[in-house]
Amino acid sequence: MVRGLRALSLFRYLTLIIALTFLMIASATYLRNASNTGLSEPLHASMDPYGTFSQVRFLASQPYHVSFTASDEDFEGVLTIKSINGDFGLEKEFKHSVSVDLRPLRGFYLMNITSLYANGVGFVLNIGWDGMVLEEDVIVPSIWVSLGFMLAFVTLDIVVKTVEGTGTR
Amino acid sequence: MRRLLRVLTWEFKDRSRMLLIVAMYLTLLFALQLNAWGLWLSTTTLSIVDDVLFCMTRTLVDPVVMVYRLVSPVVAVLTCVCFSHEYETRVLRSLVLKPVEKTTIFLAKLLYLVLASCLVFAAASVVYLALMDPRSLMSILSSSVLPIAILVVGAHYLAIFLLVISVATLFSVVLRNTALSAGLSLLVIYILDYIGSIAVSLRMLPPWSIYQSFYENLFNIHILVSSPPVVFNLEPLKAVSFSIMLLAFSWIIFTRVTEYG
Repeated sequence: MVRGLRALSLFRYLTLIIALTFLMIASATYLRNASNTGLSEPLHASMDPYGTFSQVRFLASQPYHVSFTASDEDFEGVLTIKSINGDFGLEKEFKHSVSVDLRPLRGFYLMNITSLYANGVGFVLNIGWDGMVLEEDVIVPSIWVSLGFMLAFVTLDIVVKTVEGTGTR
Repeated sequence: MRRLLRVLTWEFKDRSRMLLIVAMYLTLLFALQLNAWGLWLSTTTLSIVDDVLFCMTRTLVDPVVMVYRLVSPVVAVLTCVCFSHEYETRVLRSLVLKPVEKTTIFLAKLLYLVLASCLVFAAASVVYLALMDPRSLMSILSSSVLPIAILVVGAHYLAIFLLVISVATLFSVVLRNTALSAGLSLLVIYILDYIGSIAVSLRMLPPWSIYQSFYENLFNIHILVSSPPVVFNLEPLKAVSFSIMLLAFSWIIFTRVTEYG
């Protein structure tokens, strides 16, 4: 009986820690969204003839704008954006420049630019995002999970205190 | 050794410090989550899973300044509670009366603080990374470079926590007043950070030397993954040496003091 009560008491604190964890995640995500302008430095680099430029990126669930401009007017290439776990894929053939608007699911993405051009070329890659848009897919579930565990904590607290009170009477 | 473990177990059983450890965990998680920007990493010849892992690792490196500024106060207060508060409440006096050497008590307290910081960091970073992209978490965990990444990130964060612990320990054993030692430790911790943020020429001082080496080493490993990793550059090693020196000084004071409350 005493051991069971102690386990229940520990479990009660565990539920509180989980509730606070999700509350922290929701509040930090909200604060980040409220202060993030989403500006990123344009990337200047060069590519070999028929070369490939790859980047792995973490994308939040916010609107993104990806633009690529080659220094040579005749440049031809293919832009590929795909999620690591394969549930999102985009492929676009372009000449000289390309721009894409997307609103991905939160996760890691591979961006590839493959050159179909016989000469080496310089380029500018710009990835901007609207950082002010709330990541509702993180904030809303986190608040619900937090509330659920908070409720569990309150219930367990009442149970533990009632059992403790019965024991001492 | 057995006595050290016994005192260490006793330290971990102290429930009054649990609240501070939970506060440290929540603050750390908050600081990490607050900095999860749209991070990127240009790929190399590594496999895509390894590249994603390094991209993830970078999300632990970027908030390092924020972690120092937000989590240091909690670590400093925990350290002061561990030492000064026990002078004030005469718990140390009762410990010293038992057949345990002062060095053992000091080492057990230090080990407790380091282990608690490491455990809290491990818990917060695992929760944070698991929530970043839960769909590809399992494949990332199978990455062959995961141990190196953990080693580099863990060593740098440990260096930061050790710096805070050493400063707070010194003030605690000298002043033996929780409020005063916590206040002065925080002052030193923030002054060190402020100096580095306004004077680039003074960034060889901790914690800026640790931040800079953290960025460099992450990219070194990314490029030279097949060669042995450089966990630290010389600069953070100086910071760690400085922390060890402060701790040695604190140990001398702690063991020479005869009056425990």
